[in-house]
Amino acid sequence: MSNSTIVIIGGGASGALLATAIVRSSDRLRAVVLEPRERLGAGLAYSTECFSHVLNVPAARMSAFPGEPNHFVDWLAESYPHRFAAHAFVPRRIYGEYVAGVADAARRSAPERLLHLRTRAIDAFERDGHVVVQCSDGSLIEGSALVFATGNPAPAAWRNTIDASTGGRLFASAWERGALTPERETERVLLIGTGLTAVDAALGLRENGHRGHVTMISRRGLLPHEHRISRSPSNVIDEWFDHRTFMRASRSLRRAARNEHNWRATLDAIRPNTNAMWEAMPIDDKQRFLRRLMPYWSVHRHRMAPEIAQRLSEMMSSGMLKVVSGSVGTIRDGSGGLRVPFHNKVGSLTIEADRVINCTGALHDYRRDEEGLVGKLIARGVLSPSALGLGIAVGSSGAALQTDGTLSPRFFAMGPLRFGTLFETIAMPEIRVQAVELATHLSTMA
Amino acid sequence: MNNSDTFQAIGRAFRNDRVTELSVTLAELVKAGRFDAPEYFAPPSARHYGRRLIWRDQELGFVIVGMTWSPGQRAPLHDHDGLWGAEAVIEGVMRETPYTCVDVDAEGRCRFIKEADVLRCRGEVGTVIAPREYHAFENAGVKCAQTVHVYNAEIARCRSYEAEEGGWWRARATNLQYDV
Repeated sequence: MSNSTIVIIGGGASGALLATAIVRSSDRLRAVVLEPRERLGAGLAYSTECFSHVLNVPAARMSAFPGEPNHFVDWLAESYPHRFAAHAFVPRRIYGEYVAGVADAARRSAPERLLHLRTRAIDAFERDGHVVVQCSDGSLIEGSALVFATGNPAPAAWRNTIDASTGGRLFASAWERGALTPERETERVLLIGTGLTAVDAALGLRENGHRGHVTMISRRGLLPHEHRISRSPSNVIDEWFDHRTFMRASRSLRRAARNEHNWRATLDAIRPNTNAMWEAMPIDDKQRFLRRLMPYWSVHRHRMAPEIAQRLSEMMSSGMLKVVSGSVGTIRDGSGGLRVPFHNKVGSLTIEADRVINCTGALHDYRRDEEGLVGKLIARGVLSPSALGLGIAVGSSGAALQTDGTLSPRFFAMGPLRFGTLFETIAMPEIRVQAVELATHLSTMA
Repeated sequence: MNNSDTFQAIGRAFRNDRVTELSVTLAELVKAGRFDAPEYFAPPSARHYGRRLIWRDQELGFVIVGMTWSPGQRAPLHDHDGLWGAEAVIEGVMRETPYTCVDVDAEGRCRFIKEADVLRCRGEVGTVIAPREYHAFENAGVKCAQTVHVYNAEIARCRSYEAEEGGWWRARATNLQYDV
């Protein structure tokens, strides 16, 4: 009986669920997860310590396993009795505990088949029909297949600053150490971005004792919409969402958004088909969708939990939080703090702030991330970006597309790395299915 | 008082379907004195807090309700019939105690977690968004208070809750009426 080793790079939710699925699917497979963090399961999304950082999806839809829809709700009832209803938006750190518990259980059930190595992969190559991963601690890990489960890339590097002395007050990401821990409680904070990350940052600062003014800025100044959980949820889709071309998709989206009673139901109902729609769309329409419609799509699709909307409303109506639209220029150090110029329809203006945090979303353009492993392998031609330039090109199993047009038998990707090839791939409904399907695929190859 | 532009501003927030926008708009309108109108509020009554309909929007369906609270008068823990909206203090000091519903049993009894209460003065706004729609509301000051409540649809009934043993609360259907 041969024992194949699957090396998984990244032990966040994607990597942890894949390792779990591998352990469950075949006793001939062994998963080795390379993850510097202490516990598997809680990556960037689920390791935040703030209780105000909640899931964007009710607990009832967050099971780690496609075939066991109540798995998370049951875990909640046992771990936090009488604390959360099934429709509750649970703090992400609690969800991180859950995924970590799932991975722990898998490891306890077969300790010899799930190995967690606390190291960082820095290079990977193929040798004699095997993959070899070089790690930051100098070790070489060998396996029969390699899965990239590295999650969302960091936001694009900050290019709009010229002054080195801005250090310590300018944060490249809301998840950077200290970004949400103000030094003085009255600091003036500017958040670049108005999406869910910026909302997380505003509430995280407040939870950490910040009481000063916060401004959020983005080109359109669009906040995410709010979830509404009605007593009798309706799955009725009475509008046909036509996606076949950019023009039609845009018309459908506008019509759905205008209908205040059921646009949420419309978007939720097309969700299972979004990836098929995306695949059917011509490439230049995809590009136009990303360029022109994506901001509007995002604010409707990625909605705030009701309690988050309530806290944000409180901050906004009391004047502590302002949302403005504008394009941000070059940030400089001034006598009264960081000077952030921006322009919008009104004209050219400047905001002064003591702390500026980049809360723009992940770009999914790994070609720019040449220091990261995926960017390095793209530069070497081992992995290819998708036709849109985003994520990496993969087949339906998650196998990486090689430069000769064939699918790699050894390199695979899951989760956010499949963005571009897929449209919906960063959320739990897709990730839990990808984990099971990829594990099954790998076990048939073994 | 002709307040059609006030109602239009509130209508815009409902049209845009955003509670954040609604609460900012409402706070600005209150601070601008747009609700300083005696005809919006029923006179205080010793028996119950007063409710008067200020505006019902024919096109969008939202309602604006003025309420009058004598010192110590309160609305016990209640829901908002699954609606969403915002509530602002015009005059006086109100205490809001929000509750989160964590369990419902077969009889419709609920289990709640009591959240931190908040004192609100003129121009301060709280929000309700189902299922975050449970709270108790009371006049915490020594003078009569006035509040304005804006909901996305007519609120004709709600459920009030009475504590029972074992941490459960029993719901009682309440029909809401306006005082003339």
